[in-house]
Amino acid sequence: MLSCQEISRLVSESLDRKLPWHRRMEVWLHLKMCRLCSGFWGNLLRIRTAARESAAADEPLPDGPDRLSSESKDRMRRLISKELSDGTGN
Amino acid sequence: MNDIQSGPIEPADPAHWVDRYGDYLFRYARSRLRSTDATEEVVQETFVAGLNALHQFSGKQGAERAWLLGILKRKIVDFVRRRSRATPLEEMHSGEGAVEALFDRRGNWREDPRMFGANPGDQLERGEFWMILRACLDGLPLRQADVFTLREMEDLAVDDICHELGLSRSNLYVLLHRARLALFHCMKTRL
Repeated sequence: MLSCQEISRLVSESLDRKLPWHRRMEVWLHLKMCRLCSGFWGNLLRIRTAARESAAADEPLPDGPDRLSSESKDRMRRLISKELSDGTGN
Repeated sequence: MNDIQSGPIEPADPAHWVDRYGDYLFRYARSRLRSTDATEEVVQETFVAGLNALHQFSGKQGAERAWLLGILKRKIVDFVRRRSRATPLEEMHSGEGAVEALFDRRGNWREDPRMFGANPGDQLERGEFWMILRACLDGLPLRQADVFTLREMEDLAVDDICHELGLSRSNLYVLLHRARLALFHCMKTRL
């Protein structure tokens, strides 16, 4: 019998690769019998979905700046215009 | 035949890159790299690389932002590789804390892992869930946060992550398992 901790490892791994069939059977049987692990599995999927959705959205960030500072912008503008003028000289 | 029919040609316009795309690229990179310094570095590298590759720009209308984003995504992976090399593998063993907090010695759940969010009927705002996820990601050991981000946010294949970061597949599975458990544990305490 696999413990819930081992099942947590296998369900995580199943998000990254196809488990061998006998492992899949073990996980499936365990999830059928264990409501805690099947609840955990659902929550792992929720985290995956949230990570993907938030990755696709251009939204403000929780802490810290969500735009380039004006100093950095100035520095990058200067860098780009210097590269452009050097480039045409060559 | 040339492919003029594919739409109006708009040459790249690097003089306006910073103003048009700077903040967008910044937000994209900072949500992946978390550090502001790292983010400024990769955004600047992206502009420089774009300038050096101007001849490769297709010139399709509206394609400039997507083209720069493609460069940025590559730069993010390069940056993660550099910082991962600078992080000793001793971190492979950190993050056991979440395992111990979640499971007892026999590998049984200490607390009900179904409770996630207040009441099942109490629909948490999606944005709030994201915010907590991001905040918890910030608290993970660097290597765990990086592999989670490459896998779940950048949607890279397992073999690509292993190749970029010089990890074996089994090491990567361990890191991702730790990262997911730690995120789950952190989010559970905040939801």
